[in-house]
Amino acid sequence: MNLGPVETLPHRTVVSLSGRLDTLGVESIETAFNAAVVARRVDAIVDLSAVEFLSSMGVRMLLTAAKALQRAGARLVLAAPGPLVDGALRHSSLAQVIRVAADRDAAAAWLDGKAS
Amino acid sequence: MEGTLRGTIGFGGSTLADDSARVRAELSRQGVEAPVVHAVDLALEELVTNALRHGRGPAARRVHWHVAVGRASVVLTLEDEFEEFDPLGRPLPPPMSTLETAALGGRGLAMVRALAPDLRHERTPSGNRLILTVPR
Repeated sequence: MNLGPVETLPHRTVVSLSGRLDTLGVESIETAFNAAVVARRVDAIVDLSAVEFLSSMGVRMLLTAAKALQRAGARLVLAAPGPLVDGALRHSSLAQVIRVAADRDAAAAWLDGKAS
Repeated sequence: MEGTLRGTIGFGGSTLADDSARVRAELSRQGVEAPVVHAVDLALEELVTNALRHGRGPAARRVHWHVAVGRASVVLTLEDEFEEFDPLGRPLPPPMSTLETAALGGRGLAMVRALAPDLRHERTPSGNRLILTVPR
């Protein structure tokens, strides 16, 4: 599991994850993920296009970050999940409480209020 | 049956990560379709983690697993030596409705059952057996 390049824009963080977001993967990146995404207290786009596998521990990590950002008045958007990860987002019902966008542009448009 | 694979995760055995990789590689090698491999992969991850984390009983915490690949289905069997625990005996948590109220845990079994509803629990003389059948 890897935390990819982190774009720290003035009012937004964009980060890519890659690999398996399972128990081991979460243990290996959660601290760095929270430092990159949650600590800034601004909106965040998490690009999941290179994530191969999402378990309930990965769901917990994403949900925890989204809750923390919400408490800070910011939002977390997930972008570009592949079909299997998209299925995990729906089956866990995480997609009911966190926006899932088709790609980074759609995620940015939603955060900018340009998409429904 | 076209092939079987078995192992032990935990005390005296392998890590979940190593055995998960072995299962995925072998199922793919045998031509098992990606969604079926994914369902077995997710079940192994969630059910083994759940058993090792919550199982009560012996200090030797381990789960034995067996995967049988057939033409019509893939069957994952897990056996532990813990006190009786049927994960199917509890209702699944309701879907999340708001970010504020969403519970952080307890989603694993729902995720597994969404992909592979055919999951059974049996009590064995020494522990529990879970049998998951994933149609191909």
